[in-house]
Amino acid sequence: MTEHHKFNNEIRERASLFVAGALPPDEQAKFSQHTKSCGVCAEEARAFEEGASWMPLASHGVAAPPHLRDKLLARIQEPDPPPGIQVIARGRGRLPETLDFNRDQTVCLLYVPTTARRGDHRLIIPFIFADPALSPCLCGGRGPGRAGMHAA
Amino acid sequence: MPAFNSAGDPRTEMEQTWTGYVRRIAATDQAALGALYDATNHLIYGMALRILGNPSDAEEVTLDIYTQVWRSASTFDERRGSAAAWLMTMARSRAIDRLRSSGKRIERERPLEDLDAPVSAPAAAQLGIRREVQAAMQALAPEQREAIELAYWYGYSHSELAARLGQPLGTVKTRIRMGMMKLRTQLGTSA
Repeated sequence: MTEHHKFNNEIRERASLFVAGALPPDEQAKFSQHTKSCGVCAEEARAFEEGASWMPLASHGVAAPPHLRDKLLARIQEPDPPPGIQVIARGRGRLPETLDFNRDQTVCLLYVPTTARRGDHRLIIPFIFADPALSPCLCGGRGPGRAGMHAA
Repeated sequence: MPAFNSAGDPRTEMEQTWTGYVRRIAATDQAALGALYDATNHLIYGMALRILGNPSDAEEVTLDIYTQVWRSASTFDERRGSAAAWLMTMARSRAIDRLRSSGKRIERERPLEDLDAPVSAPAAAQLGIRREVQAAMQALAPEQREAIELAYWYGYSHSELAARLGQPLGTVKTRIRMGMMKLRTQLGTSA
């Protein structure tokens, strides 16, 4: 998609669909990327967002469980992942059955088994390595599309 | 400049409060994150629960959203949009991504009240805002509201909507565009 210099109705339609979330996922991602370099589309999307973002306030809210606040404040104490590494999930409990990651990326799951209950693992950090060279562990998870487990 | 930016408007006051929290979070003020969480968790968790329909997924996504707020607050630029838009857009996007990656299309297109979750009582200021936003939603033509809500809350793409609603693709796109224009005029920046 090339940068636009002039507003037109197609831009308006596309931006409205984008903000409503009605573009197919691949087009949604493309338009999002496009707004980073196209001021005309970015401004149009921003104007729609200012209206649509109030929609959640039309519904009843649901208070999050009380323990979640402490969990959040504990989580932000954890160090940020190194540059180039995206944490896709973390938590305590059983390893998730599926993790969503790009086939071109390398995945490393770092977890610590606990003795609390058989099969119950403390999932420390699952990493996605955009650049396998950044991998700080030797768990065999190197190479595009491969997943590795690191039990500590 | 937001159209609602007038003194005494509860949305303006709420926006100023939230913007203040985000500024402080950008300066790594943990108390500000706690304050923003206290003010908004019922909206964010409620949104995640409505989209994902599962308390456990909603909890995880809620944690991810506020962690992202903590890590990216410095990128928030109030000249480019409101704190509410920044937060809600981020939250919805995270929840929809999770929904799509799970491969489970929600078959439960129903209000939160039906999800067996305790509904929180809004603060007085938010009650006024809710009425205002509900009025804006009610002002949409029913077919516009339906298309927008299915896309916004349940991640339907325009072609999926066309199939589901039995309408031509062009009709669906027009309904969404016109409805979004109305919301933008009434709740956001002027067209």
